[in-house]
Amino acid sequence: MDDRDAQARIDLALVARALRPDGERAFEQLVRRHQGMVRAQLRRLVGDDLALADDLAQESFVLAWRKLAQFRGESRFGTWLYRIVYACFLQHMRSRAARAGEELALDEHDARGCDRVDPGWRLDVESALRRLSIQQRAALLYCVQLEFTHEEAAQVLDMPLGTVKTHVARGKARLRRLLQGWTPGDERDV
Amino acid sequence: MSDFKDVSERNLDALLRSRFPGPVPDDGFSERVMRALPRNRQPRIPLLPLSAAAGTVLAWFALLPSPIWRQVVQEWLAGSIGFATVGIGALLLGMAIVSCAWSLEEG
Repeated sequence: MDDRDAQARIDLALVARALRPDGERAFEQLVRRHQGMVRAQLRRLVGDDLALADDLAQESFVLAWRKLAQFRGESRFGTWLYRIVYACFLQHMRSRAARAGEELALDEHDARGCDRVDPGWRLDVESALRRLSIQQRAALLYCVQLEFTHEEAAQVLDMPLGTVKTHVARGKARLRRLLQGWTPGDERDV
Repeated sequence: MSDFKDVSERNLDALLRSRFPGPVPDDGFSERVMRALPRNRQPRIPLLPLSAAAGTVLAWFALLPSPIWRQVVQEWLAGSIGFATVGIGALLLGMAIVSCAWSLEEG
């Protein structure tokens, strides 16, 4: 936690410098410090489309640059940035759904696929994660895989704390159901 | 090798964390972002009065068929500020504020 606090202080100092008229260099340092995790998150969220994940990451950083003055330091810079990242991701998903004339499946009941798995199939973790709803996948990403507190995840996902906990619990329960026929070490996809 | 049902109760979190690949190497991404940054991130100042004026005009058009304008003119000619004048003024002011807030939010 001390390390995270130290990193947050460095971010804060860089933000202060980036807000100056000649702040591009400082902002570039912020980009270099956070791009790896931002792109990794988006790759998890969008799936296998690495180019799309990078496009959304770039869009997120450009938006962060424009809105940097709105960062008040009330949360970690990373939390603030990830909130922008998730908002960009959701915006993209909504636009894509609108173009396809579909409703965006955010919650569990609209999730793609179902829990009935053909006994002949063998789901691995990646395939099982893709079968969760967007919100469950995002909640597990931030709360479990990135080890955010539920409060931080609630800020990033812009949803109430209780809703985040619910998505985590339901996501885990569904993962367990989906993975019952899977044996660790078996990488064969559906 | 153990069945996942047994493992999941104890180690689902650890399993998920182990599947997170970690930070992606930069490979020129940061430079790409820096090239894409807009030169000026501040809200374009002319946008504020323009959006306020647009909001005011829209409000005026919306109320054009209403007899309230005639009432406002009568109040002005009579040299008094009545309900119609105050109402229209508040509405126009509200539209201008909303337009400004929107343009600031959008940057």
